[in-house]
Amino acid sequence: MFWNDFHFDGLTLAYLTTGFAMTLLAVWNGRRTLRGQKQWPRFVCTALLFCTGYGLTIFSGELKTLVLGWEIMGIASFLLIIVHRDFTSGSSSGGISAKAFFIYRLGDVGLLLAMWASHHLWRENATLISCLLLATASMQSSQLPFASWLPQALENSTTASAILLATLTVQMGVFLLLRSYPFWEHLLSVRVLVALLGLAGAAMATAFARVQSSVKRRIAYVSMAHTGLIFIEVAAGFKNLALIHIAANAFLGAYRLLAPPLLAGMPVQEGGISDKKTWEDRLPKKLKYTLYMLYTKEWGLYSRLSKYLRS
Amino acid sequence: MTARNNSFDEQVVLHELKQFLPALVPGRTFTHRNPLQAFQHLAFHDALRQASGMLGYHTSLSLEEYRSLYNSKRVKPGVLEKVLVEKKGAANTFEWQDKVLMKKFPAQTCAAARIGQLRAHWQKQYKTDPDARVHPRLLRILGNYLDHGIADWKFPVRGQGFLDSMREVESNSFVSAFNTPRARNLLLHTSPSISDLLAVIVGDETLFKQYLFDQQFAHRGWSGLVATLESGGKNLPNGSHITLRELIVFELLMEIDVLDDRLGEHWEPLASRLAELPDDLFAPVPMDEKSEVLAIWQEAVEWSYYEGILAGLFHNPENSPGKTGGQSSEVILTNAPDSLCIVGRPPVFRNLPAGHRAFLNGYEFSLDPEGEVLEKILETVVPSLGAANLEYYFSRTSQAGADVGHALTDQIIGLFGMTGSARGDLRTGLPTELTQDLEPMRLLCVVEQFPETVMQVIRRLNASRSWLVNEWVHLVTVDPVSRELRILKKGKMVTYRRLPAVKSLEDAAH
Repeated sequence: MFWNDFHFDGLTLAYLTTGFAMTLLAVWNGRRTLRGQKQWPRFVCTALLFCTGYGLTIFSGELKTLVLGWEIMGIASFLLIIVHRDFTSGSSSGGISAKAFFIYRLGDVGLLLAMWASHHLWRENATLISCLLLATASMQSSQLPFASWLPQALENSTTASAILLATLTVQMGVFLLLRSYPFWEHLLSVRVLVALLGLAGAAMATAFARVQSSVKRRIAYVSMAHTGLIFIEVAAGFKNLALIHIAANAFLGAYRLLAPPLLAGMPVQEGGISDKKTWEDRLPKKLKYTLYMLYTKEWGLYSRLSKYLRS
Repeated sequence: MTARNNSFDEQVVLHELKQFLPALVPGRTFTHRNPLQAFQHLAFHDALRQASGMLGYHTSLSLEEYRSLYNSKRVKPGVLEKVLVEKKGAANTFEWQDKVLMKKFPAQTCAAARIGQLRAHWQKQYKTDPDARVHPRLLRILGNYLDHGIADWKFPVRGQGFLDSMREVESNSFVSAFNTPRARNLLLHTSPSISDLLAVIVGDETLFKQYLFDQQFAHRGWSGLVATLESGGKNLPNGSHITLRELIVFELLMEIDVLDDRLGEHWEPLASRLAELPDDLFAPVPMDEKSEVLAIWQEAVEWSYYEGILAGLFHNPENSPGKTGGQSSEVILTNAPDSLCIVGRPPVFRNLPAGHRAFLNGYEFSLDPEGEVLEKILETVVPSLGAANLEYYFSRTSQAGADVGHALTDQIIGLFGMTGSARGDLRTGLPTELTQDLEPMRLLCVVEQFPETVMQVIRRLNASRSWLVNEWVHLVTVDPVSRELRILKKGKMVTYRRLPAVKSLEDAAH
């Protein structure tokens, strides 16, 4: 029956609590900044839509319900990113958000394929299904090899609330992994793959975060690095640790965003704090410059992605 | 400045560019510079028109905003009428009143501004937009280079200039900032001048200057920051330094890189494919009806405010100072910081309506018959107060065009600035929170001295002369004997006719 489509357990509870707190924070912050503006009703509707999608996803007992929630959430977070865009006045660039949207939809394809495969090839090719699920999860969590949408989405979203909810959707990738955990638990190859992806993603994101001079991109990369670590934790079977880590990561991100930025009156001392040497500075010169350039260009991930998605 | 100059002189153009670029200080302290400094040789309203037509700046509130100020009685009908009579003559008042209050003007867009027109031809003729690919890379490298303390791992080369640092990294790194060899070799093996690079990119020397303006104003916040850092002469926290010239050279190299990458090794410079010349960026912007209407509104807003103050200050000054002041201050709720400066004897100050912030400067007219003291006072007070005031003024008007307000999350870059836009430019001007409830108004400077003496002083002034004569600051003199008020208008002292004071006070009571 209908109620069989839903499922409630510790995982749902954990996600429910985190999601509830973050949504409250986002709406509270949105109220503070958007109240009285013409975007406020739009924001409230979109946030409600997002909650619906989020709720459907975390309570889902099977793939079909999950896909439905996933779709709603994807559309809602896309709408949140562009909540400030005024479409009536000219053609302001939709390119960046289109990129996030594109990756979302790509993720859905993975999910749909997994659903289809699970109906037809159940038990026969569990590895394939796991890989499809993993692909979706890593797209959603902005992990390798689809790592580049999160910083751009954050950079281009106009409200802190949108960013808070976007970080929530990032955690949904991990949710998918955890929900399907019993399914690939016994497949060593998949577990190793998850761990390796997480490790590579965490290492890359950490490196990028270290050279960022812009606060939002730095938040995005730090969040990505943590998600990479969470992937490793899930692969290793530490599910509770992963859940705690998710909540901590979400709240840390929120704190970084919502704490008032200290820019005015920041003391800029010569030779003060800002001239610290780091371990990278002790590397041989060639290696140091190469790494720095590589990280600054972010491995050319963006330019490559932009090249395909422009026009 | 008006005619296109054939020869390109790097130093001269760089100097001029620095005048136009906004002053931006790391950490968002006050810059105390007139944001329209480059236009200060023009009369105020001409300068506003020029700046908006040339650079696309929003230099006034929108018509709707002015009209809603009128509807909410912040602009008094009597004052508006007076301004109309002064500007257009009694005969045309009725006609212009209709224009000011009712006429619908076609929505003027930023696209009409001349800046950027020349470089728009990359898109039109070559179907490529170099900025879309240069900016992300350039601004990231620049941001990392200028970083004051966000990144954990700072730019690895320290204590050198920008180009030298980039050369050092390029020559020792296996990964290049460039994608094609030509630009990289130009950086590593030559020290190209701006005009060498422009010859490759633009070709026609008459267009060099306009091209540079277009290019730098595509990220005027960043360029302004670099120009300010250069003129401050201070090094960055890590001992490095940067000049505007270095930024331009590097950006031109990146443009060559991107164009090479996109169009292949051999492409014709921009000028060779221009069908028609773009409008001259520096030509005077002609007066039109809308700009006149906006100027009339601005004067009406200002004088609605000043009227109240002047009435308070000089209505029966000896008899009932406190009471008058108290009453008129109830009308004026304007939150206008630093828009009043009084130079005179203490009795003048005492009549200042309560609730107004004013800069007060004690001055005894009888001890200064030749005006030497006054000269010194004006010379220091007018440029500093005027600049602070105009900074508020133009920060407020620049919001008029932005459809999104303070709800945007600013993005802090490197602890030296904020970006608000998707294009990634740094924000100029004061934070929105400081200016959102403000009505833009110029500084009113009240001087207690004989008008003839003040005129002589003005003729002797240096730095603050253009401020006063071009009406970037309003000057009102109070005759110490007859208490008559005069305003400085178009370089002459004009008798000030106030609205019947009794009437305005009655308005206040209701």
